[in-house]
Amino acid sequence: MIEAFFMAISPSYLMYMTIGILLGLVVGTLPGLTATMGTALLVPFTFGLPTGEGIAMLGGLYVCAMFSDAIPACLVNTPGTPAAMATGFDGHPMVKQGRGQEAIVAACFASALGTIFGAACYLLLAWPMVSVALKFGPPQFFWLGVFALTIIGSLAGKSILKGLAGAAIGIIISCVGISHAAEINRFTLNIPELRGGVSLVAGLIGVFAVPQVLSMILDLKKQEYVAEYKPESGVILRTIKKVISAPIHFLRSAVIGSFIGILPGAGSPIAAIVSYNEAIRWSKDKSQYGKGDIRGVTASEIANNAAAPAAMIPLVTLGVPGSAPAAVIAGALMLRGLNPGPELFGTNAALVYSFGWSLLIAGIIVFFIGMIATPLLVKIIKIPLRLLAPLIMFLAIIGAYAIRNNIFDVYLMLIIGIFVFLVRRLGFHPGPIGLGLILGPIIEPSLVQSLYISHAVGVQKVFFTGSVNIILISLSVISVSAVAISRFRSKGKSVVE
Amino acid sequence: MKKFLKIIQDSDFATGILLLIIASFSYGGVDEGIWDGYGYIDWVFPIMSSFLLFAISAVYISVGIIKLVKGNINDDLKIEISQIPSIINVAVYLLLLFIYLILLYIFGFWIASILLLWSGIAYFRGEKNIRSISKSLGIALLTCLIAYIVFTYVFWVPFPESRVFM
Repeated sequence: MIEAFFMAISPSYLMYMTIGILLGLVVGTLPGLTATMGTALLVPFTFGLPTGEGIAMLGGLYVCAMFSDAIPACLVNTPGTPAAMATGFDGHPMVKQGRGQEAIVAACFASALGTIFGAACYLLLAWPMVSVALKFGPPQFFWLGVFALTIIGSLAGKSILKGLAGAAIGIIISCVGISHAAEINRFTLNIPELRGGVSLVAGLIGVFAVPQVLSMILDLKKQEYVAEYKPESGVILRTIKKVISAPIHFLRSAVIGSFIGILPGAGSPIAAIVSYNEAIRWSKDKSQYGKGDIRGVTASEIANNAAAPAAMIPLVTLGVPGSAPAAVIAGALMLRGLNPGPELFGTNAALVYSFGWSLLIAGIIVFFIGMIATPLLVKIIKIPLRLLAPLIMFLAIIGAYAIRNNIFDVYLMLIIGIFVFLVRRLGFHPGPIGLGLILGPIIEPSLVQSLYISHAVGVQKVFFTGSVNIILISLSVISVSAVAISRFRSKGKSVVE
Repeated sequence: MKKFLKIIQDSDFATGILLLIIASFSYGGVDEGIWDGYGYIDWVFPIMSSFLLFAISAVYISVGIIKLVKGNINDDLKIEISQIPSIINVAVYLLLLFIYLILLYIFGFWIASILLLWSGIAYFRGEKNIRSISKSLGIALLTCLIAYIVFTYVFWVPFPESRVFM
């Protein structure tokens, strides 16, 4: 771990991580751009970098976007990413009361603390989780993947069935090309370019970036009002004192964020909302929440930032990403021939730990850069969507082409992107489709190996016996049914909605 | 025909039909005779996904039929008149992308990209006069110049060249 720390503080790591952080500032600040889209767009350009620096850059972008999304949430009442929705509940009223700087300093400091806590969890919990994962065989990894897909399908978007269907569509797209077992062509439609499969990067950009750009074009006329931001002396220290004067509040939010981050598919948006609700529930004075209470801002920001590094824990230990940006980072590792999961620990433990240290250091850098850059970021919010949309599409095209130098990947990216844009209209969320695309190649080899084993001992013994299998099957069923029941109760509608 | 159009404006019904098409397409793509020997192992994963899609599409279509019988079918996918300009924007941009792919083949990456950026930015600008069109060209050229320097010398990305003027 010490060796990994020195790797993480090497000049090249710090330089690329800082570039990632600066990009994350822009991505998070601009409403319409998400951390997933930012990481998906950045992946192809990190391909030429050494692996450690490349994923540190992606990690820097991810954690920083989780802070900077609070700026438009406070100033415009439009979260930069979905994770900052709860931040705006109190952040925007604070801005209206002339406490804009206090809201943003609180968000920045809380984000830094949350990131550091989440990264510390990563460094401390990764090894114990790998020790458990090492006892898993192919059937257990298969069920783990199924569990991840069910929980992702259940939590992303408004409809469980559409979430599960999205994951199935993602899996089918991932199956295009030569199969894992007997190397036969699947769904290639006699197109030679499809024999190599759908490029992961082109697929991810297609799922996460292209529909977002097309949605931005749909919303061109929505021009938001940006509140004034006037920095004053003394506010920074005063706000930091306020934040650290509530250690229980911090600890509760950070634990909630980290726990939800570890759950596959839940991620920062859910962590922020749960933390905000819990902050209200445990508070003695609930009257100020929603009217400009600083605790509302910090509860959301600590949790959504703690969830970001924590979402990497299941990725590096079990091979199952905890959030959509973590899934994109999984894709970045797979592109380099590194399989996320316990195998990664065995072969590249220093890389895994250096990534954890990078995230922790990123938390510290985010605070300082955030404080310096906020006045500039306020101006960035004003960049019109009509200019941004074509520029992002331009980057998406370069990104899709860059990995394999194949123009066919650009075509595939556009086809997938237009498809996802259209199905969004039907209520599908891009998250499960993207995660199906990522998890497909991870789950299928486990299924194939399990089936080969089952020829000797029988399907029932391989898949349906053993405590781990039973627990994972039960968790899969519970994750779907619990969410279905809670939605049915809260809405009084069928599980379809 | 009118009734059919109304039915497919219901998002549940439309979802069911779409999933049925995807599931049929993926299941139809499975090779024949896979159940003889171990051939099924290559297909079992996409087949499981297809069956899941069949099952979910059955649920949505059933919900749609129940709504139809009860006479409370929704038209939540109906396009409002106010949405048409935005949809035209998306359609125009998709057309620009289609033209871009043709230009990419003819002229290679940089000329096609400058034209795509220029036309995209110019189209979405509110005012359409010489000044704004020139400004859009300036932004497109500057972006491509920066992209060329960054991607060629920092990220070492080779770009597609013209297949016609080789």
